[in-house]
Amino acid sequence: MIKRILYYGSMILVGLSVGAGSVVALTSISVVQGGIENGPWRTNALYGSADAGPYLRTGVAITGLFALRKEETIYYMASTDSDGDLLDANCRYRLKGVPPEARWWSFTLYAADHFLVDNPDGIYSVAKTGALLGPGGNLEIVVSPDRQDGNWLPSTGAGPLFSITARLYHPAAGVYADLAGTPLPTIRKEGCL
Amino acid sequence: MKKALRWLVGAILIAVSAHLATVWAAPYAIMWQAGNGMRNAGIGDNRILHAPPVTAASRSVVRPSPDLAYSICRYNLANGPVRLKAPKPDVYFSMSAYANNTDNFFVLNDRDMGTNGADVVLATVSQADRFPGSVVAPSATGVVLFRRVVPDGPAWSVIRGERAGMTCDPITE
Repeated sequence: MIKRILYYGSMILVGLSVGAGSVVALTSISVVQGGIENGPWRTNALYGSADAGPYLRTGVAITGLFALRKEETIYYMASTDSDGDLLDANCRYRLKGVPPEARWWSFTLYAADHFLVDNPDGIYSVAKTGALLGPGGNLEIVVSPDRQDGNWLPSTGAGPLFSITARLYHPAAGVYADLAGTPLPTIRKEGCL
Repeated sequence: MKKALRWLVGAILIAVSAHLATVWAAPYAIMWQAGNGMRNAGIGDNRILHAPPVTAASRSVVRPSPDLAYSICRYNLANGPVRLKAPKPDVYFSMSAYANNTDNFFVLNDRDMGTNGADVVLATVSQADRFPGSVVAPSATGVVLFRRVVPDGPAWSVIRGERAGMTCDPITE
C-alpha cells in the first residue's frame, strides 16, 4: 500500500512540478515571448494586446500586469548591459544617449521580484519631468549603489538580476516604425565594488 | 522496467497537462490575486481605490511606476453596466480597462477625451444594446486602471481634487 502511494504520489508530484515550473521558465524566454531587441533593451509590440499568445500573456501577467497596449505605451526592459552581461547591483553603470522620443518617458529600476528597490533617498526612477539633460540635450543616468550627482538610480539592495524598465508614453511615429532601432541609451559598466 | 516506464509516461502526461492548464489559468489567477489588495482594503466591486504614492512598499501589483498616480476599480457587470468618469488633467492621463485574462481591451487618454473629461459606460454584449456608445467588455469582471503622471510632489494636492471627480459606479436600469 505504501509502495503504491509512493509510486503514484511521486509521479503526480514530479509531473505537476515540472509542468507548472516549465511555464515560468518558458514565459521568460525571449524566443517564446517573440521580443524585439534594441541593444540591451527588449520590447514586444503585443504587450497587453488581445493578439498576444498564451505564453506572452502569461509572461506579462507575471512580470508586468496591467501593461498598456502599444498604441498608448511602449515598454522596453533591460536586464543586461550593452555587452550582454547581467546587471549587477554591486557595479556602477552609465546609461548614455538621448531622451526617448515620446510625450513622456521614464526609466525605473526593479529588483528581480519586479518591485521597486527600497533606498533611503526614495529615488526609484528618472523621468522626463525632473531629468537633468546635458548641454546638447543628451541624457545620462548613473545606476550605482553609491550616491551620485545628476541623474541617479540607486541600486543598493537590488540584489542580483535587477532590471530597468523604460516607459515611452505616446511615442513618436519614428519609434513605432523602428522599435529595434529607435535611439535608446547604451548601458556601460564602469566598475564594481 | 515496465513499471518504471509506466511511471515515466504517467509523469510526462501529468506534466504536459499541468503545463497547459497553468499557461491558460495563470493570467486569470494573477488578476484575481491583484484584486485581493482591494478586497483586503474592504473595497468592493464597482468602487474606486485611490492608491497612495508608489514606493518600495507598494507590492500589490508588479512593476508599478513611481511617477504615476494610480486609481483602480474592479468592475463587475453582473447587475448592469458601470459608468466611469474622470476629469481631464493637464498632463498625461489614461483610463484603461482589462478583461479577467489581463487583456487591455480599452484605453482612453487625456488627448482623446473632451474638455469635460471622460464619461464612459462599460457594458457586456447583452447590455450594450440598451446603452448606445458603450464600451463592450469581453468579460463581466475585470479591472479599470486610472493613470496620471505626477510631475512633482506638489502635484498631489491637485490630484486629490481630481480624484474626487472620478467614478466607477453601477448604473441602475
